[in-house]
Amino acid sequence: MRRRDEAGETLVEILISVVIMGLVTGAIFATYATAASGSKSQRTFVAADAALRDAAELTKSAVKTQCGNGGTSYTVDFSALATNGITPPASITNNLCPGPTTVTPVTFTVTWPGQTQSLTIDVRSP
Amino acid sequence: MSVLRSRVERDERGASLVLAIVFMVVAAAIGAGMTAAVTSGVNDTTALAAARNREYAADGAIETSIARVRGIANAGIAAPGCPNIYNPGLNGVPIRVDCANTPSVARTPTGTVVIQNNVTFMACLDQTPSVPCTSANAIINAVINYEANGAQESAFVEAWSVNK
Repeated sequence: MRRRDEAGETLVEILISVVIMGLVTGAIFATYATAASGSKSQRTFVAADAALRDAAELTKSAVKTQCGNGGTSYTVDFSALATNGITPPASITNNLCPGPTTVTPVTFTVTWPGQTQSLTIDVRSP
Repeated sequence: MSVLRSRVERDERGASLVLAIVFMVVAAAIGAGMTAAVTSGVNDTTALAAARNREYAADGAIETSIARVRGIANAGIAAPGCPNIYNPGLNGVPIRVDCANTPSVARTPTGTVVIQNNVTFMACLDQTPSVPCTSANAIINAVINYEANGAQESAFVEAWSVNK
């Protein structure tokens, strides 16, 4: 024989538990979705950072090799830096070599959906 | 019989609440972990960009100072013309470059001892008030050899280290 105060108690508890578990599970999935989105964004950001650094080093190397022996201009191709949806900086074509006592600033910009990153370097003739 | 029922009632009382609380604690821990991971990632990307900007600002500042010293007749022997303050420097990072003549000697293939006109450059973050760079706070250390042939000498990188 069940006592009167036990009647329906299990059903109410289960309903409340289901509601709580639903809310918490929904919150977990929302957090997971945010974490996944953030992780993807960070991967792209790091790839963009690598592209900027690569562009900078390619440019410094090009100036060193192409301006070193009496060259007057230098050219760098950045098309190989397009990865992970990143648009690389515009390639450099026949930029004038810096003078012997000056440097020339070069700015690189990479873009990917909704984001832009820039980096400026100075290049010097060897 | 009544003793047994009483024990069961007492043991099961509040079990659902305990389970719900445990579930919420576990879920909160998972959520906190994920939030911490996202926050850490965002901070890392910010730090990565700042480090990149700082590094290339120092690189540009030191390149500029190398080029300036190259314009000094007898670089490595004459006063090197530092410090140079670049504020704002490249990418908005203030940089100070200190330099000093650090001559060394070398022997040519014929056995003649010659002086190497070396200049050591140190680039660091410029502070307010500006203080000289030290090996402890230098971002880039570079030793440049200037060919002593008058103004606008050739410059050769003897050493180049990026510290942080």
